[in-house]
Amino acid sequence: MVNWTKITDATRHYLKQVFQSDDLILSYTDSHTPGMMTPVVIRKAEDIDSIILNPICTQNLAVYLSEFFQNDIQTGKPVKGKWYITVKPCDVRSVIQMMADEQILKEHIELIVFDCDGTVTNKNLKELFKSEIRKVDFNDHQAKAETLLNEELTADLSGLYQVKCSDREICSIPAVNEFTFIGERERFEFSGTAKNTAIIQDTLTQEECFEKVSAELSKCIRCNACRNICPACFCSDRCVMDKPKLSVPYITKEITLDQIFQYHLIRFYHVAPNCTACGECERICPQGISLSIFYKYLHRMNKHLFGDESGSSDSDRQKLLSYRFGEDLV
Amino acid sequence: MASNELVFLFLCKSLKRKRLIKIIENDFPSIKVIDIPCIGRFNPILAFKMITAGAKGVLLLGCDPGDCHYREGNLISERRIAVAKETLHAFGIQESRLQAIWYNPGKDKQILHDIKKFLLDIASLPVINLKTTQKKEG
Repeated sequence: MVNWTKITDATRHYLKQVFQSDDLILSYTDSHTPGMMTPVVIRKAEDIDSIILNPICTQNLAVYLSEFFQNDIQTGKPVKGKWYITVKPCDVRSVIQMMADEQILKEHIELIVFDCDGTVTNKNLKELFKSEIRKVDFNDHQAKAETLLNEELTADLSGLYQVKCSDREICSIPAVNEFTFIGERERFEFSGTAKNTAIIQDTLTQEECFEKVSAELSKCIRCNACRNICPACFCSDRCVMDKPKLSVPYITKEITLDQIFQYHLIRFYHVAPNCTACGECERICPQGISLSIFYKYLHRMNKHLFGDESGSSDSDRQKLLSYRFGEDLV
Repeated sequence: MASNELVFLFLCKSLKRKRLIKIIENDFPSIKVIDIPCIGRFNPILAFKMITAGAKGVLLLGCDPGDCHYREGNLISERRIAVAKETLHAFGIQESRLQAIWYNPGKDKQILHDIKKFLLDIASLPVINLKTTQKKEG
């Protein structure tokens, strides 16, 4: 049971108490498109009232943190105060993994976790109401919409939550970092309905799996959206895909199946050790490729190979970058 | 042997012997030998490129753990290859196409034996040549 107006008010109230002049807040606000939220950066105390939290806050805000940090290094003028970031329970791991990979400074960040029953994407909301929406309000599992023709519609959201919202492991908050929890409950508990999400690499044979992967990937248009949204893909200006003049141009931007395969192989190989299965790549894909077939497998592989789940500790760097002599191997 | 049955073999400089390379190129015409300073320099991106463009497999020959000229090159490589193999598996490509074997310098007979074994392993696998595959309209 989540009362969204209460959570929004409580978040604003808490931030007003702690906010000081040099601080920075990263949160969500209403966008110009109805049924869609947008991330907002707040530097003034007056703007705190613009924060709105509801089940369509789908974006993972962790991806913006590394940009701030890199800007700090480049301009040489670091933010003096604290960075407050409001996150859903599923995004906490992404922030902690970025701390572990030294993309952001631990001392800067203060996490504010708000209660959540599940999130709904913009696409699903449009399908639900089947007409142009002017305004949407949320209360618990109910959504109330006003259409352009001034009709009032109510609908139940509980069947529409994202696929990742049915996974208990992704929702669980690792018990390493201090954070402020905002909600009516004392602490977050998984309340969704756990679905059986099979990993296709286990259920299908290798040939079937390859066919399925080829069919999915042939939709790809190489727009790089999955790379840009990913909190684990943090080499923003040094990406191997962006090298303009390689002496051997083996990675090109053609939309042929071999280049698409290479792009996704390289991307998933690069993010495999620190992927927290936040599912942003699948949500953002304009072609609707179900990238979860890859990241689910690689997320589990990470646990098997290196023992630790990614995003569970803020001091262990990812294992491919941090080999020390004498350490145990895989 | 047809060029589409190509196998790439990366050889660590410390193992490099002109005689060994000559034997390999004579005995196994499908193998293309590439020698690099240390197997720790090998980037799995190359293996992805080779396998998706039609090579049957990629074999790495490195020094035994602890024998590396650069102290830990082969150890770093071992982790990378473990992750790269799993990545291939996630995409439905056989993991056995990418293999790494570790040696002491001077064990030429063992090397030749294991190369034969690797070629047998991948003999039945189909060639993935995505370059010629037409992209379906999605």
